[in-house]
Amino acid sequence: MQHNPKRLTFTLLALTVALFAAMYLHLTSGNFSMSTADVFKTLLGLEQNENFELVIFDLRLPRIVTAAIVGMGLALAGVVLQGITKNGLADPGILGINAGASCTVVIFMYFFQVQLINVEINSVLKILMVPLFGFVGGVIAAALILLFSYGNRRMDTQKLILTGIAINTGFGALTLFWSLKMNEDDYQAAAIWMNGSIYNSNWYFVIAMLPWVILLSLFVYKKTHLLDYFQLEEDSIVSLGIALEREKIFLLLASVGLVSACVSVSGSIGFIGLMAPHIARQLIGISHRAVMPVSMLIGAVLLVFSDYIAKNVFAPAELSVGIVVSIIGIPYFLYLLVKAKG
Amino acid sequence: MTDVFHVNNLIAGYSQTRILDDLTVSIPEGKVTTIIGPNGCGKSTLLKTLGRILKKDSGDIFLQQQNMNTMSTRDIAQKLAILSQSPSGPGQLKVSELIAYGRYPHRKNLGKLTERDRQKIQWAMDITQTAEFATREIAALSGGQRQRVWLAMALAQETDILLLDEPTTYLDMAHQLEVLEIVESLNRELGCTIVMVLHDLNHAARYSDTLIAMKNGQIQCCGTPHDIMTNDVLQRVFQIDATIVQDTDGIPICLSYKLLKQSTPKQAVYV
Repeated sequence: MQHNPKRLTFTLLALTVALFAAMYLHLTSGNFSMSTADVFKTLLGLEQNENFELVIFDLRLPRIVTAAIVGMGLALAGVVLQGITKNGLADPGILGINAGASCTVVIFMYFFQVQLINVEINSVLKILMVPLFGFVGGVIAAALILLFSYGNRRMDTQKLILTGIAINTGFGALTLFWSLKMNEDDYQAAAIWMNGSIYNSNWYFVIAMLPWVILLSLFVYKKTHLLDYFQLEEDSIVSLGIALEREKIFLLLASVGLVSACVSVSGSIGFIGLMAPHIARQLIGISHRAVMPVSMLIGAVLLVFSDYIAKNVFAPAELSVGIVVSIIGIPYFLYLLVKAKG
Repeated sequence: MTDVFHVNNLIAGYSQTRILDDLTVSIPEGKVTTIIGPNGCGKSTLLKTLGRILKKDSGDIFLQQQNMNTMSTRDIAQKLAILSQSPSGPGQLKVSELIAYGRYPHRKNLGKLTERDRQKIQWAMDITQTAEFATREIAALSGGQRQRVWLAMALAQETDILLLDEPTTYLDMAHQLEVLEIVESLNRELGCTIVMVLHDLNHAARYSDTLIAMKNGQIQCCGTPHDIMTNDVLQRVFQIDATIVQDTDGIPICLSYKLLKQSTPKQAVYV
């Protein structure tokens, strides 16, 4: 499918500017008072103030980078899920993949006492393990959803959403159950993490998820053209010689992997995967080769900006970014529902 | 005469419901073959199974003497194209983009279309006369245009075999004939093998070399239109009492018919 290359370049450029603007806002605001000049001097290595370096490089920057990567990962997962299900309501949060990944991560936390809030060096290995555990939960959730939404050897997209909601709730309950069995400190940490937060991010988190996001993005990029074909009805897709079920499962697993990597760092953040692809399609059309990068940038902008709000609106208290995204996301979600009906 | 399809003891259906029960049939190469039969007799199911859209439960299908089990779906897509009963795509998709989708089985890298791709797309648009609205979105097409566009996509697949599942449904008379004329010229001029499902017996008789009459998931009989369009066969297959005449070209026409009195509507689908 063709898209207008000029329009794509312009959109990508505009979004990159927006992303840098959000990053700039984020980087230059906070409890620790620094002038904008100080921020830039520290970034460029011109200012050798240790406190500044700590704030910028160990506190603010990893958080911003995490927000951007998680935003991209979740947005991409949303593009893939909406593409393979042909359903604009498909979102890792709604389908329960977030919940599945969260659940196994919480179980992992329970057994290994990993606090994803206060990280010590000896727990780095455990942190690197978290995405794998998340993946197990995500795959279980996805497998259950597939199992129950297959009717007549086909994926029934209506059933898919309903099953997803049920799975979501089920895993939510299971997560709550395990987190209540935790000791108080672990529970606190888990509770904050579950609501979706990145304020405690550090470079280890970035290292734990970045390879996943990069590899899976490349994988999905190689397959994006298939998402265009997937918008036809199934008989036509098979007729064209596309191994429909196999490709669907590969792409589904890729999106589960993306979600798991993101969730293991940020907790469950919903709506990014829902909103970003919708906004992208309105900006650039329906060609997935264009929708994919645009969505990822939108996801990054949304999450960095939401995190900026989460950090500042009740400063010095922090709001969890998942809640901010939901506050922005729910009205948009309702708008989509109304629009879809009309 | 060689067979393009040879089907042995085919069993197929949908989850709990078996539609085709131990069906054996051969379909000749280079001919227009039309499957006829009452609703629910398994016409579409047979066509879909031939085109591997529907997975069979057991039995063998040979495509040009090669067992389809051993062929990749992409290889099959280079040999046969299927136009399904109700194809659909995103409304914003442009006609030319949709037709270009037909090139999928021939494309290696999915960057730009090659010269050959472009030629074939143009050829498909010429035959189906869809070039004039190539830049339109498919949501903005009339029923007749839409059907021709989907046919063009199947043609762009550049296959010797075309399977068409009720290609004339929802079209008015003139547009039905338009589609059938295209099909006929593909067969006459390019030697394409056509296998299709039609509801209109007169169209089937007029445009086919071979008719296959099905009932209750079984082949009742197959042969030339003259063999099949008889009062006896139509009684057995459709439970109708038909008057068959010949038109000026010597093609049998089913002139008027009434339901057989003693016939009770039979459950065509059985478990």
